[in-house]
Amino acid sequence: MSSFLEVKNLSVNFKTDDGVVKAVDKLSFSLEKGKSLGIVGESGSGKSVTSLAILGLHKATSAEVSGEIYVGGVEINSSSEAQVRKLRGKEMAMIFQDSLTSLNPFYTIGDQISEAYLVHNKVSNSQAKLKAISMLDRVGIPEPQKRVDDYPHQFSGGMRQRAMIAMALSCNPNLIIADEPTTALDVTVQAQILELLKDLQKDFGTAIILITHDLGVVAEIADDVLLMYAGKAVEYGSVRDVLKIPQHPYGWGLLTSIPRLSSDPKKPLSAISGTPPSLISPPSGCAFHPRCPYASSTGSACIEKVPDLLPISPNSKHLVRCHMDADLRVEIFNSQVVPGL
Amino acid sequence: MFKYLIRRVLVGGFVLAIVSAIVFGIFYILPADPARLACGKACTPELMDRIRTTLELDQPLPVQYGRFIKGIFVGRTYLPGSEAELNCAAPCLGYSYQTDQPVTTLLKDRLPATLSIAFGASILWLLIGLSSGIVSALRRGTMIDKFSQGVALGAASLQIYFVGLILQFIFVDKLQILPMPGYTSPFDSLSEWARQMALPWITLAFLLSAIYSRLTRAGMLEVMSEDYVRTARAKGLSARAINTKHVLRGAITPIVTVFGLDLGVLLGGAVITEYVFNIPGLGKLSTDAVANVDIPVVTGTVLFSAFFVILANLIVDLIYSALDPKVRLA
Repeated sequence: MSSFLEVKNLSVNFKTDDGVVKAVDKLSFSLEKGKSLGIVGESGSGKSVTSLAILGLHKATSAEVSGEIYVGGVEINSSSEAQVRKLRGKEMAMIFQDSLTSLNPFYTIGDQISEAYLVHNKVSNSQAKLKAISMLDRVGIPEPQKRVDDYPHQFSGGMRQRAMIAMALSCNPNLIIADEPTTALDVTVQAQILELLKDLQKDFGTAIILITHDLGVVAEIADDVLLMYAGKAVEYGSVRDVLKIPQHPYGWGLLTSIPRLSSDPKKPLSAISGTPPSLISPPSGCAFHPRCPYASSTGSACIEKVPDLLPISPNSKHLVRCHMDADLRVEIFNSQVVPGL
Repeated sequence: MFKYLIRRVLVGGFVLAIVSAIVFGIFYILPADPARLACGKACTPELMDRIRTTLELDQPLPVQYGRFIKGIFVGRTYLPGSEAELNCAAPCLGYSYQTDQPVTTLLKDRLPATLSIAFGASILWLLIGLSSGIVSALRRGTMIDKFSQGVALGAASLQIYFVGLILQFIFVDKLQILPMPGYTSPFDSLSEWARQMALPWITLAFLLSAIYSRLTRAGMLEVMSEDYVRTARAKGLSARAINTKHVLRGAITPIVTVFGLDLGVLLGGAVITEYVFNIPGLGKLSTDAVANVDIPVVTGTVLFSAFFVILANLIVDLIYSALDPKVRLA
């Protein structure tokens, strides 16, 4: 049986005056109900563009989307806007990053949650409002009967994010895409929101795609992780495999960039050198090679040839896009990356 | 809210007081002698002296101003105790030097024409401006958009006295389907009122709808790129629901603001329009008064338009607070 969400060879291009921006390049992954996938990558790596493509939100824009996206068996790319619209909110919903700008300042929180519910359910306005109240209660808003009539600016950041989650969950979708849901929040509120997402997933059996650049969040919540760089998947596997022995130098960079309380406070924070690549004219070969400290270990392969996304060993579900030899990668990870953690 | 209103009314009154003081002051430092102006053609030194006493022009300026202000609230009596005693009931703004009519009567007579122009034209330009702006925004980049915005750009750069005279030439002189613009009370003849007002309405609406069209289009396009519109799409809302409930709602606030102020200014007299079409409104009254240095009338019309602008501002602020939940009046 195929998974609830299947993404096959997804590419998204934007035509600009300076050239074609290849935001997402032949991306494939899948996700089953009740499971979570963390998509990790820096700004501009194509995470959000991918999630918008799944919701079919690139339709009616200048973006060119190719490949196939199956949501519950329905292919999104070849479906009309009207067909996809029926799935939005009901089958798949999205929690956006910035809850202040993503909620309409002119309508109450209750209005906006009921609106999502009313689109897909034939109920009266007052029933929809009751639904909104119960959803707010479910996501842990105190005094939901009262707060339901508040406007977004009257909510705190954490409460707004909860309201966004309530809105996304109101039609009980099978897939939720959470685009950096905790980025703008305090660390304690972050933990609460993640806990809430996990709880709700348990109750509703929802599949969750969590877009983030925080590996800690991934470790907390995800079953699988997809590491993206310059629009391509560079590593894909279960959280256990990928976080235990990450195979791609970009993943190592991300891991060592996390500041730790136990590290020497006088030591400068480590960062991945260089800047994110241009998506209009990406570097030749492996897009990460200009920033990769190990690129020279493969001779000129990294500069000349784009590596394929391959299993690290035959039959393994842990895929990586790197020219280095699997043994060499493990050796470098253990000898050079682990000591820095 | 109530406190806010009281404060705004007080501040509005204060602004009016300043406006009146400035206008009053300006006219009394003019080289023209009010007594001479009021005296008319057959003037003798004795007559001028009498006028000076009657109008209390022999008093110091602050006293004159004080009596003027007092007249607005409680009325005023010229030459009290004499047999020529003249009672000017509140609100008294004095008498026109030209026609000897009370300024309040003049304002009252001229107001209907100005109201007709302002409300008729504003309904028209809102209809045309908003609808063409909305269509342009929804069909961005298409021929319709380019055409309507091209027209709007052209129209916005034209002037009333140009468009007005051209239209008058076409519709009145050549085609003869409209009468000469003027003012007939709608209570006397509704059709004649509309036919005479048609050209002023069309002219004003033509120019102002261009501005509103551009404003609407720009506002809608801006809102369309808002995150919350993306959220609305992600919820599965139809394009129609998104455009009316979210996009238009977000774009309407600045339009309401500009509209309120435009209407406020227009109510004080559509000066150029009335002048071009020779319509007996407040704008025509004030331009004529300026040309004749009819000081009491000028003061009256300036105060009257200042009153409308202040009132419009207050109403806009009230509407704004109703439209934008983030704005709380306090």
